[in-house]
Amino acid sequence: MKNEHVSSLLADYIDGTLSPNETASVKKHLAGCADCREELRFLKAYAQKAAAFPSVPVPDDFLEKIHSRIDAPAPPGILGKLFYPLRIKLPLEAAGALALTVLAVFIFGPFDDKKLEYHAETPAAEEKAAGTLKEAEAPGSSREDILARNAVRARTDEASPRKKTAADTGRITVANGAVSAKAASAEDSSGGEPPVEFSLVLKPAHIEGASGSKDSRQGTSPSISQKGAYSTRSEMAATDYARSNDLTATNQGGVDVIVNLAGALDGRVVKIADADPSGSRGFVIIEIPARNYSQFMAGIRGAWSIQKQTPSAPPALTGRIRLTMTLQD
Amino acid sequence: MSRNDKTSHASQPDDEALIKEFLANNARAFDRLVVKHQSMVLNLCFRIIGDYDEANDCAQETFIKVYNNLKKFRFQSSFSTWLYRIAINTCRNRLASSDNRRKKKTVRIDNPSDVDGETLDINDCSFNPVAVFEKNEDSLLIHKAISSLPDELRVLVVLRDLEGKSYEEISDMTGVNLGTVKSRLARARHILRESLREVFA
Repeated sequence: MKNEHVSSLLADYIDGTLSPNETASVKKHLAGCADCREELRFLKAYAQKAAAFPSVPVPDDFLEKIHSRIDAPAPPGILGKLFYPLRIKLPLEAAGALALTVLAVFIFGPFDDKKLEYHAETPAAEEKAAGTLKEAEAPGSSREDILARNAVRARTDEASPRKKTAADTGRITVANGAVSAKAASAEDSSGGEPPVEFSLVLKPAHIEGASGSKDSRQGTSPSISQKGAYSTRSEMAATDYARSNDLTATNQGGVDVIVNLAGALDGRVVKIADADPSGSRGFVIIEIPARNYSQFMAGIRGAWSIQKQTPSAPPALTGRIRLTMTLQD
Repeated sequence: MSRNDKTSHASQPDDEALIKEFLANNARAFDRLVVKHQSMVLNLCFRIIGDYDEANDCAQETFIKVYNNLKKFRFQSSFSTWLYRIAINTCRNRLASSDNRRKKKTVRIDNPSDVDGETLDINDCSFNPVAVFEKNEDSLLIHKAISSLPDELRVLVVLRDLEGKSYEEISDMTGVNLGTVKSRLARARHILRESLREVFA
C-alpha cells in the first residue's frame, strides 16, 4: 500500500465512511507517506471551510418574478421568430413535407440540364411516337416519313426496352447499347471537324414482294435476307421498313427513303438537286454520323441498288460523313 | 450535511401535502413550495454558476419548470431530489449555452483583475455577492477555485462538499454512475488542492 497513494480514499476517511479494513490500510499508508499526510491535512482544512460556506440571500421579489414569468406568454421558438412577422403558422407536418421536398430535389435533381433538355424535346418526340403527326400539320413530311421514323424507333425500343425512356425523349437509341443518337450527335458536332466525303451511285432497285433480296449487291453490308447478319436491330428495321412498304426507287418515295433515313439516323439533307419524285437523275447530299453509316446503307438497299461506292471501305465510327448520292435511272 | 439538506428532509411530508394541494388547484400551495425551497435552489445555482444574477434567473427557471411539470411528479423519489435534478439540469444548460460562455469572461463575483490576467467588468446586478464573503475570505477563495473547475467536476464538488450530498444521492441527481462520481470527485479535489495549496499552507 505504501507505493499506492490513498488520496482517493482520504475524503471518505475523514468522513468516517470507510470500512474497518480500508480505514486500517489508510492509517498504515499514512504512517509512511508524507504526500498522503499532506493531502489529508489539506482535505481536513478544505472540508472545514467548505462546511462554513456562506449562503447568498434570496431577493425579495423572487416569488413575484416567478409568477410574472409563468403568466407571461411563452417566447416564440425558432419557427415562431421566423414566421411571426408574416403571421404564418407552420405545422410540423408541413415542415416535414417541405423537408422531404427539398430532399427529393437534391436526390433526383429535376432541374439539371439533362432533365430540362428532356422536357424541351418531349412534345415532338411524343407526337412522332404516337404517329399522330398529320401531313397537314407537317408540310413536307410524307406518310412514309412518319412510318420510317416510327419503324426505326419501334425496332429500337423492342431491342432495348430498358432504354425506352431515352427513346421517348426523342433520342434514338442504337441497339448495340452504346450511345444515343442525340448524344452521339452532340459528340460528333462538338469536334468541329469537316465531314468525310463519300459518294454513291444509286440505281432504283426492284424488289419482288416482301421477301425479295439482292444478294449480288455491292458493298460490305449484309443482304436483306440475312437478318441474322445485321449488325444492329435498327439496321434491320430500316431495311424491313423499305421492304414492307415496297419502296423502290420507282415509287413516289424513292428520294424520300434517303431523306427519311437521314433524318431517322440523326443526319440532315444538305442538298437535293435535279431529282424528281420518281428518283430519276439527280443527286442528293446528306450528312449523317459516321457510326450510322452501315444502318443507312442497309436502309436504302430496300429502294436503291448501289452501283458504285467511293471509297469502298466503310468510314471510321467517329465524326460525320457527307454522302453524295448520284441517282441514275 | 448542510442545513438546507436537513430542512428538506425534515419537511418531506409537507412537500407531498403541498404538491397534492397544488394538484387540487390550490395555487397558494405552489407559493409555499417556492418559499420553502427557494434558498436551497438559489444557493445551489449560485455555487454551480458562480454569478448571482445568472443563478437567480436559473433558480426562477427551475421553479417555473416545477410549476409546469408538477403534474408529472409521481412521488417515486423525494420532491427535494426531483427539485435538485431540475435545478442541476437548468444550471448545466445555462453553463453549456454560448451566451453564458460569453458572459463568463466578463462576470465574476470577486475582484476581476486577477482572473486570467484580464481586466473584467463586474455585472451590474441587484446584489453584490462579494459582501457575503467579506467576513470569510477563505470561502471566497474556495468559491473561486470551484468556479474554475470544469463543469462536470464543479457540479459534483458543489453537491458533495458544499451541499453535503452522499455519493448515491449525487449519482441519482446527476445521472452519473457511482464509480464515476467518486473518481471525478477525487480528480476535482486534486485540482482544488493545487489551486488552494497556498491558501491552506
